[in-house]
Amino acid sequence: MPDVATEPAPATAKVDGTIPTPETAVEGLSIEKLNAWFGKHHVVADVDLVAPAHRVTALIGPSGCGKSTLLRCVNRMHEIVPGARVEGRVMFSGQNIYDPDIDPGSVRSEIGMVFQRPNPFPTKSIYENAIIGVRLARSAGDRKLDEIAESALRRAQLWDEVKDRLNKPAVSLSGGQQQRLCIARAVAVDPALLLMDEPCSALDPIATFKIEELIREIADQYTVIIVTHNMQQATRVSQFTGFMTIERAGEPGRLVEFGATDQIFGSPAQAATEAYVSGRVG
Amino acid sequence: MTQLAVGTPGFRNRPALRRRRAKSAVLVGLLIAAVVVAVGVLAWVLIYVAIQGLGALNLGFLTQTPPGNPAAAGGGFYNGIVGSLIIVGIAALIGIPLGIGAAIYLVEYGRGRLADTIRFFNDVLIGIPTIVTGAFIYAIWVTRFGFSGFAGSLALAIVMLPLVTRTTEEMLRLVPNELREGSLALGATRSQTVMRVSIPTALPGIITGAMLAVARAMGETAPLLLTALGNDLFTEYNPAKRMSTLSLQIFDNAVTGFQEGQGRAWAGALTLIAIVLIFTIVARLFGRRVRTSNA
Repeated sequence: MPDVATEPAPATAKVDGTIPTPETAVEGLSIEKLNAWFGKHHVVADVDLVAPAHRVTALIGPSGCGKSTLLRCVNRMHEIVPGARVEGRVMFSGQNIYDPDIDPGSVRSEIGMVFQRPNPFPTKSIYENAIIGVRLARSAGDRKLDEIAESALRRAQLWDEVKDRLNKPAVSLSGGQQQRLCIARAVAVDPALLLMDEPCSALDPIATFKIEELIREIADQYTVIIVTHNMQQATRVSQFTGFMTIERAGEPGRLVEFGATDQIFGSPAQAATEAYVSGRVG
Repeated sequence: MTQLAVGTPGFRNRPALRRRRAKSAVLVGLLIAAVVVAVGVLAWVLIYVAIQGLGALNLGFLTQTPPGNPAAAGGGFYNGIVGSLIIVGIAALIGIPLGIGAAIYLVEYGRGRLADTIRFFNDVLIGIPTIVTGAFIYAIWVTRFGFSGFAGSLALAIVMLPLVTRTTEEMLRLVPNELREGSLALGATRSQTVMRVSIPTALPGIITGAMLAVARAMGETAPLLLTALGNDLFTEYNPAKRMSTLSLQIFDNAVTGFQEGQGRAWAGALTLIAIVLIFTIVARLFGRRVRTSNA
């Protein structure tokens, strides 16, 4: 599997085959020989992937290819499903997050996640949703919480729309606003990495556009990995793309190719990638 | 696009369509009849109890103990009201937290055979006749410590426990898994997720379930006959002693055969319904307050 250089990696760079600098490996995230199972069902096989720091990495591929599962392995969310199992290493900040002495909760507060469908907490207000991660993690004075809420909502580009009704229930927002609130909730705890699992698939085109703009904006502060079904979206928001697929139903998903987004969509090295991105398969 | 003219064969009065409409009308009619019967019987009971009970219901009824002679007029069920509130209150303090705790375990932690077994026995417990529960407490408690309000509370707690477990379990299952995942993904522990996300989201339903169990316990008579026994001589506030309850007094007075006693029984029944109604309304309002103050 090719490693990836990022430093300073313009999006157009051809990165396949180049060697990553040590700084990149520390700052970003590297997945090594990752395998995942649901019970006896092997869903992800032998994935090696380096997500460069402060860049957006997209995971694309047909339904059921294991890209969401791979994403959920990165913040140890895969294992909360009964019978689910992971093998392999995920190196993050110089540590394997699957080391036995690592607490999954602390991994998840370092690696934020945004889900497919907006899932703000319905009994809580906009304000409380924005800061709940901070409340869970540590105790802070109220004034500090106010600052955190405002800064998170600003980063999620929601502040101007909600600043006059912070105490209204989160579910009073539109779907797109709810999803941006979920992004605010995730960035409020200052994660180094943000995982997004098809964050726009339940949204209309305008809300999608706003979220994509937001992803591009926050990429200079966060390392982002985004799973998407929408190939145009991958080209719009990401600098790097990994293509996953399965050979046939029941087989585990594998990472077929990884490289700069322009290269994956412009001149893919693998026939399977070419078939998928040109719309002939999937 | 060509438009089909109205009247085209296939759009009107096909026999199959007529049959379908007829079937639908019959079904809707049956459903309406079912609603009318269900609501009608309920209204009948309420109105009948109100008419019968209002005759004997007055301030004295709510503040006095029954007369020594059941044939005599006057007197009231004050001691029974006190007893019902104390006995059911203690039962609720025992049964509701245990039931909610069991439900949390079943939904949020329980997996595999143990959880299935607990669920099965919980369902069995719901079906156990309450007189059996009373006999059980009589055997293990009353034979050692004597009749007492607290023994009645234990019996009623056992009656309430499976109901609270069942309703809480159903309500927690309705909480979308995505919310739990959202919480876990923020680094929350499972117990934080339960306390801050699952329970607040399910709270209105949990409160309704608890109130149904309280209402059920308020009306129970059989298990109290074998545990609290009743005491109509004076008002007992100490649950370590024999106590009367509204349900016991309704039973006692109804079977006397004297018109005066039966009048008090009706008034007691009306009082019981009113107490349950007040509890339910207060719980609803409280549930709504908690939800909106959280929101």
